[in-house]
Amino acid sequence: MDWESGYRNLFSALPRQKAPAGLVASVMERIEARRRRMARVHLSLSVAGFGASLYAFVLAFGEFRAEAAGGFSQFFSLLFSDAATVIRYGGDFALSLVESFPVTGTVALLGSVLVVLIFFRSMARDAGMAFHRRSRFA
Amino acid sequence: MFTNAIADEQLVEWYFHGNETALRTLFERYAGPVFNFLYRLLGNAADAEDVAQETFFRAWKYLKKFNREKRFKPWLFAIAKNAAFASLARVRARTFSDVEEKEGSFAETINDPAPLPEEWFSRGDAEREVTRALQRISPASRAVLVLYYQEDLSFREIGELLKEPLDTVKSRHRRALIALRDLLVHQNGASGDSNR
Repeated sequence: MDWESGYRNLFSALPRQKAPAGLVASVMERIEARRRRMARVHLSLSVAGFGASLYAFVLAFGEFRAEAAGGFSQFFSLLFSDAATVIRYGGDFALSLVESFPVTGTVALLGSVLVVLIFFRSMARDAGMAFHRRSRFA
Repeated sequence: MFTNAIADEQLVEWYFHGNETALRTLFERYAGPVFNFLYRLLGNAADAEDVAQETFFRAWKYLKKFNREKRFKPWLFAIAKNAAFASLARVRARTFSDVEEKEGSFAETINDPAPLPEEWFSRGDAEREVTRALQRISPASRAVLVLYYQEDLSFREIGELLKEPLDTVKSRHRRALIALRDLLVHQNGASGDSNR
């Protein structure tokens, strides 16, 4: 269509405005600032989570000790105090050891250790992002 | 910085895999076109710069929602258009030409006595006149003209961007051209004597 080609020429010949120097740099700085702000929020949550998980670890350790004191720790100490008897009655000893094993306490303890490590890792990562000054877009 | 040979969608993919330079390259590539579009839409460089910053910031914020099966350019310009319209809504309402609202019959006008637009470029102030006229048509019509003629988007892509049906976009395009021509003629008549 002739009329359209005329308008196409009109707009094609209109000078294209150039973006101001530093436009993209400003955007990147704004993005970095937002990321740092978000990282600080996450850091606060990670610190709170780390504190709570440490408390859970202490409770789990107490539970483990209480459960182990039931019989497991006595059987286990026999390995060191009366090794000859343990070897002689190895099968029975092993069965008793397994029966008295503090399953719940162990699961709780290992679980709490895992959660502590996860929150610690999150804290370290968020601290790095929250207080990192050099732009990652450079 | 990556070369222009790398597709936009590839850069987006690389960014999601941790390559921060890919994001910067993408924004550098579109800084000019987006700024130009916003300048034509908003009419001044200061507002265009503010809205351009907001556009790229939102693009980063919502990049995870970008459908990688589609083209990046129309998605980015949709964000720019929304940011520009929000900016225009904050400004006091302006009176736009109502010529584009009338039922246009441009296609039926075979022998058009009005000068063809290309003649305007023999005038020294053609750019200024066209820019003035553009500011007097509605923002949506302005967007259609700039996106179609300067950014080479198809009517279908413009329709998705403006959330309008294809036929509506085509009608808007034709009416916008009629309005633009009438405004240019009117401006020419009003200021023509001063150019002699």
